[in-house]
Amino acid sequence: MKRNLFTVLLLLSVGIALPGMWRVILAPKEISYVQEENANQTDGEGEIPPEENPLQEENSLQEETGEQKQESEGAEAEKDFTSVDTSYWSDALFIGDSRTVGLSEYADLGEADVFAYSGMSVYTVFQVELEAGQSGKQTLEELLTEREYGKIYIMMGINELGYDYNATVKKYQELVERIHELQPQAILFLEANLHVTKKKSDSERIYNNPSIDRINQAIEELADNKIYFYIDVNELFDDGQGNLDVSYTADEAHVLGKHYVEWAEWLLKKGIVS
Amino acid sequence: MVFSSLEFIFVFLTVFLLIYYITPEKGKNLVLLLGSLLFYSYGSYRQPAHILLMIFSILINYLTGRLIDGKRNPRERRKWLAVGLIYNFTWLFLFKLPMTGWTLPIGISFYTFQMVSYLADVYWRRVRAEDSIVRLGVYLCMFPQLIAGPIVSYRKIASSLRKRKVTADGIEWGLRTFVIGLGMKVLLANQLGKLWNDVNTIGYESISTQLAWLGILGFSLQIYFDFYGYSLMAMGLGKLMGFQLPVNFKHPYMALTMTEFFRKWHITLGNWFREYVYIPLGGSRAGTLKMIRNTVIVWLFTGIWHGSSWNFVLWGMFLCLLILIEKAGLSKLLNRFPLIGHAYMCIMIPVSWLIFAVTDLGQLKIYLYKLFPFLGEAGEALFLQDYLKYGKIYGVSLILGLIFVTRLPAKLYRRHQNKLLVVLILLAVFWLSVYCLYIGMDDPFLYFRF
Repeated sequence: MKRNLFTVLLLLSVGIALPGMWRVILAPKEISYVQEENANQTDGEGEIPPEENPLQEENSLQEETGEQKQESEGAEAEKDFTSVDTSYWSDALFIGDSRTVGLSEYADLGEADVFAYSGMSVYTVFQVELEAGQSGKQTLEELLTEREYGKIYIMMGINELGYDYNATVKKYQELVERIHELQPQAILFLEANLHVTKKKSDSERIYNNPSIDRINQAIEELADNKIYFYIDVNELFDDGQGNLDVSYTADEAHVLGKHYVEWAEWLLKKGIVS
Repeated sequence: MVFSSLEFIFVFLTVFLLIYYITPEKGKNLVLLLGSLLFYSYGSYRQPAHILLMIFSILINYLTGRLIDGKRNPRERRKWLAVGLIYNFTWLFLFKLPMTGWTLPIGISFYTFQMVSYLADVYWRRVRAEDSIVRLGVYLCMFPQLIAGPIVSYRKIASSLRKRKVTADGIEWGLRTFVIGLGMKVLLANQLGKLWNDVNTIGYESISTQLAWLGILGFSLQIYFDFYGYSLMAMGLGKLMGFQLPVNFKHPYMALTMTEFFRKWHITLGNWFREYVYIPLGGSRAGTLKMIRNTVIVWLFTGIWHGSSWNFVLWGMFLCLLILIEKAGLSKLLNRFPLIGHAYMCIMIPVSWLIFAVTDLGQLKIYLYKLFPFLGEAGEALFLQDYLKYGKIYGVSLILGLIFVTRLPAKLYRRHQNKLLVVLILLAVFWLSVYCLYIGMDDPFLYFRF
């Protein structure tokens, strides 16, 4: 018995776990399918798969909020983009996921603060504690009450693609509104999510370009060109067909380190000066 | 279906072993053959032609083996051997040729070599041709070694194909070996592989020299634990059915010379090349010039066997050159002064794996310049503290990896293997691996993050 103790313990534990493991292994596809269906239903137009008609669907939903914005901020005039240099970022804050991490590591963002980590999403952005400002680890809320920023860049939405679409849009909107509440003087740059390559897009059920376009579209709807500005870096890295050009990437989803430099230069052409 | 997947462990293997153990002695080989074909079909269901090719190859090699064995006339025997060799190598060649653009059938590099060794051994009268097609089928495609070896020679397991015994101790050993291999693959190789991915994501031009070394160290450890882990899992699975599959790795990273390294790395492949290429060509007995020629041929084919892009040829030739230089006298020095030997291998192992890993020759040059900045300029490191960041993320995996390439863990294991603590550690390794596989599968947000 003692010589075969491992056999006994392993088989015993496997035997106990087996029913549960089978449920997990043999069911996952079904579960994801149900989730997807639910997402479609809550879109309001269950019959139209989001991949086929991503734009039409949320227009009606988003117009409303867009109008609200225009009403409340109606007094101010719209502003245009101008070229600036990195000193522009001395009072800037970047919030985002791994793409923002990449920017902060491989490009020169001047003296900007960066509140970003790989895997950041609108669902976690108020929960995580990160080292962004001068006071060590803190939450976004703490950071935003501690210091006044002139501009805040937000790039998120791709890690959220597995979640319910409407819930994500709502969360994103809440995030943007909360930031504006805490930093009423700041300009908010709402950045489009970078596409993935065609190869990746075609093979991914969740992280594909139609889904990215869909969330980007919703983000664009929030822009009013007075406080909220939408900028879309895909014009810089696209292959002409709405995919990330393969020559810019090794993992099909992030640009190579050196291209973050171009990305930052592009951002500098999109300055808003009052 | 890879061994390190929940589907394999909890569905295929569990059900298969239950059926296998309750089947009477006579039917076990048939169950194993059908199970292996099912296992193969699961991995190749998109290419039904690959499954047919496998079955067809079993038939052809069965017949060819019988023909070689049955003839007395040496010319006839040679003719049928040639037919068999041409048949087997043509498929391998066609599938490996980049021009055809065909998908490589899973395991073809391994099973082709097994078939060739079988025919050659029958031809040399080292063994009689197998008279049961089921047994030959089991030899050629039994699932433990179908995908990634070890490359087993027929004459070494011919007797086990007829009669083998499963004992409680054998099962204990098999399960332990499988779990150790699983842990190497899931807990070490998979984690270390992410570091190499990160380095590729950044692009070689933009990394620091420190990160370049860290990255290739990560790759070197990954490829070892990946392959060694897989070989151990294969051995363990074989033992569960009463087969003793050969050892494929013996602490290669402790070697003092490249020559020694490849006697300890993927041993069954090295043995195959020695037995069926190097020695038939005359080995080292026919003078220095012929020895050099034979060594070059072996390494050229070893390179091509691993992949069909130019870097694999370069990799083979690089190793060939080192081995010839060592033969010319360097190995005496390296063996006499182990410190120098280890230092030499600390450079040569990563550099050789780099040539292996980077298929684009331009990129390879950039990476080499990053490793050795005195060679030339290869783009500016844009994020100077990158190695600190990745060192922090992968430090534990790297250190564990470095510990597990030494002989110490195996030594400690052998001494204490019957202690309760060791049993509990192995149990923890198994369930931790399962947990890692589970989050990799079920949680795309953890597995695939932006």
